[in-house]
Amino acid sequence: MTASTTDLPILTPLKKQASLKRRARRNEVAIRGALFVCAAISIGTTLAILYTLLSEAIHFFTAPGVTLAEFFFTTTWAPEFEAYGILPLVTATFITSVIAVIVALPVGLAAAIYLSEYASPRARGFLKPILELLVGVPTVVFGYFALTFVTPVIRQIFGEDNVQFYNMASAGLVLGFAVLPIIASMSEDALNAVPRALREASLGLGATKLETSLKIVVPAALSGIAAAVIVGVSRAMGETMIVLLAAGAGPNFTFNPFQSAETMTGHIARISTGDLSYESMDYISLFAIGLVLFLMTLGLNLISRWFVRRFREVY
Amino acid sequence: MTPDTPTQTPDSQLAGAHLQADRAIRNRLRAAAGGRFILFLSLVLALLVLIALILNVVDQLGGYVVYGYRIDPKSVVPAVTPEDLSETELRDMILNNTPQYRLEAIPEDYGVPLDEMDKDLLVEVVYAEIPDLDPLLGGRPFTELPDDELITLIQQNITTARFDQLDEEEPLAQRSRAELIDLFETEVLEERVVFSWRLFDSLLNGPAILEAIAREYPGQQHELRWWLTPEFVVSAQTTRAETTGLRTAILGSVLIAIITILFAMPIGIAAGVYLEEFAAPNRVNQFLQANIYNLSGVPTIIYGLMGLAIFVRALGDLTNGSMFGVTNPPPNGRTIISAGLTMGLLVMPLIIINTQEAIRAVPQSIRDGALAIGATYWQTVWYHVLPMAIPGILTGVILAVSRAIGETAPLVVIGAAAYISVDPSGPFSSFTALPIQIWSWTALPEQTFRNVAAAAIIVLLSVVILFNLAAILLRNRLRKQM
Repeated sequence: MTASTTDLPILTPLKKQASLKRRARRNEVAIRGALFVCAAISIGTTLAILYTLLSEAIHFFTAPGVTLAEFFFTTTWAPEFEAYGILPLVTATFITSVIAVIVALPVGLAAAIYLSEYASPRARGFLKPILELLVGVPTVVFGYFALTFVTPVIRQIFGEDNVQFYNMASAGLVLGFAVLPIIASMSEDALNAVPRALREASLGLGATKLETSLKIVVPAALSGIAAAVIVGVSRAMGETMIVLLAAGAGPNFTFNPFQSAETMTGHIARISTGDLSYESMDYISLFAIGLVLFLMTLGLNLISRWFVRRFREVY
Repeated sequence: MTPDTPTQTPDSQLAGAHLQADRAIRNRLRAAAGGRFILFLSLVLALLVLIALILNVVDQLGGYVVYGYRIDPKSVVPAVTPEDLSETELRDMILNNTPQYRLEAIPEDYGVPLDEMDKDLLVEVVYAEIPDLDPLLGGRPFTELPDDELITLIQQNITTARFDQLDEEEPLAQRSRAELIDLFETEVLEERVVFSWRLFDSLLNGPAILEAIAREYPGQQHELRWWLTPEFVVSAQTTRAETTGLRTAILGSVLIAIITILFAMPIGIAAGVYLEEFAAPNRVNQFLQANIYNLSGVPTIIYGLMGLAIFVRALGDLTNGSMFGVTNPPPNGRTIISAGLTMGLLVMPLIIINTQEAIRAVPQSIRDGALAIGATYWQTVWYHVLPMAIPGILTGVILAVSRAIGETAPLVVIGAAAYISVDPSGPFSSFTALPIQIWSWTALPEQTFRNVAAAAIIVLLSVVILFNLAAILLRNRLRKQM
């Protein structure tokens, strides 16, 4: 590279010839470094999340009158009366998420089986995008749907005396449709990954397509489907707008889905929109709730990824 | 088929077995067909939900409404005194409101007949003879007021800021009479919807509803009102459903999306390139990768809490612009830039993962070819891999924009949903955004705010669905090419 182009190579003294030894190219190293920094920003985000949640949560747990035992095992959340039991928020979160999965799992799995085993390529090319559009619908729109459509319908069916205006059933039901696309799409990926040979062997033995799908393909894809369900639960637990609009404002320790109760996300959102002083227990308690929510969803996501990995190893 | 049953011949036994097998097969085939139908039905159910969701919104986009005034017009329009009236008006007033026997006595008592009295005398007669004067004087309908008087009344009865705002949109003196009356009704009398019907009901049972209106709200204004109008989209936000608009929220959403993308796109793409092209499969990089997957599963409200603690609170002096010499900074960091940065961190995993997928899809032979003729790694990536991966990367970016526009929870936490009527002027302004507005309107009990929310939802949904459709189509075309 240092050799002048006018000189014939043969006349160039050996010493001046380009060394073929590998050299560090400073630009390359700098670019690589810059790219690494960009990738590391994601670590920064995680650290920022952990730092804010932990520091304020420690602040909360060291405050006078707050104990870990009270936080995890008592059933009243009322910061104004210095009662900090997270259970009502957790049960509401669980109930809405369970309702969501009860709705989303059968429908989502059936849709996935149809798309992966039955649909012609043309039908698939048309049906799949519509399912994906459902992913794009902002959750606040689902919240509107829950409050102005599903709630009145539920109240009409079960009677206005039995169902409160804000209730977990309506929120959970709509939450189910919000997480349905992700369950369907992850299940479909899992079904698609099942080797063709299994299907052909089953069909060759005389099984119908339905028997093949339900007794061969679905069991083979089970860990992928489990991963999908777990991610669905985790999404449902972390969803805010639907429960904020439809499930009610105010913690309520109940297992009746027709009653109103506030979930962890709903509580965080409602309190943080109010007039909030940065030193108040209201404010720092949000981070303690946030930390619990973060750990729960993180745990579920890790389990789900473990399932997916195990599944990949099989085939 | 047991041989020790002598009553049946082996042949008929065989036929029976065939029949049984036939029936079993038929049952299995029937189950297969039924199962297929049920599977298909569940897919249809998902689509039906989408349709129900959209129809439910459309149902609240319009419909018959009945208007009433919150403020009684009589309390706003000032009373006239008899001195303000003309001679003919005074004469009519006396003729219409004085008992017959007094009318006959007037010419005698005052010495002149009514027709020949001058104005001063008429005024005197009015005061003396008409017992209940006040309702006659106050009852001038505002529709008959002259233009300049209407403008004065508007100016007197609304806040100076609101008046200046209206005057800035179009000087009141230049507006038509119909516009002024409209303005008077909405701004001063606070004309509001007292009852409304849903859209489909209004379209199907129009005559019955009109009858009900005539019966229950006689004399009150009513119309078939559409909530999603061009005017609604472009006008500023107000506190009332009848007059509010989306402009403030749309500008907020657009600014937030711009900051989000300016922040997340370069960093996200760079991170994706690093992880896919440069990262050796060592512990550090595996950790980076796992971390990105986990970040994409963190509940969005947690991002909101982080943004609240870091961008709004800890960096408040930066994010409200006071360190950059912005005049009149907002009191805290609940600003567009805080929202944009938080949203940027939120969508970054999405961009990184999509970039990685796009780069992974570029054939290895492209890299081998470039490296073989002496290109450096970076040259290979920059000139060969990235150009081929651009459509896939773009898909991720489009999805990220759509997410940034539709995501609500972190904005609710950071924006704190204060009532904002002033357009955001830059990154350091307080803000409201489309999804925040939809949420806060939906949470209000009045039906009219639900109507407004429905109109806002249509605007938001069309933008978001357009973006998602673009991303889906782009990706599908790409898959076919590969």
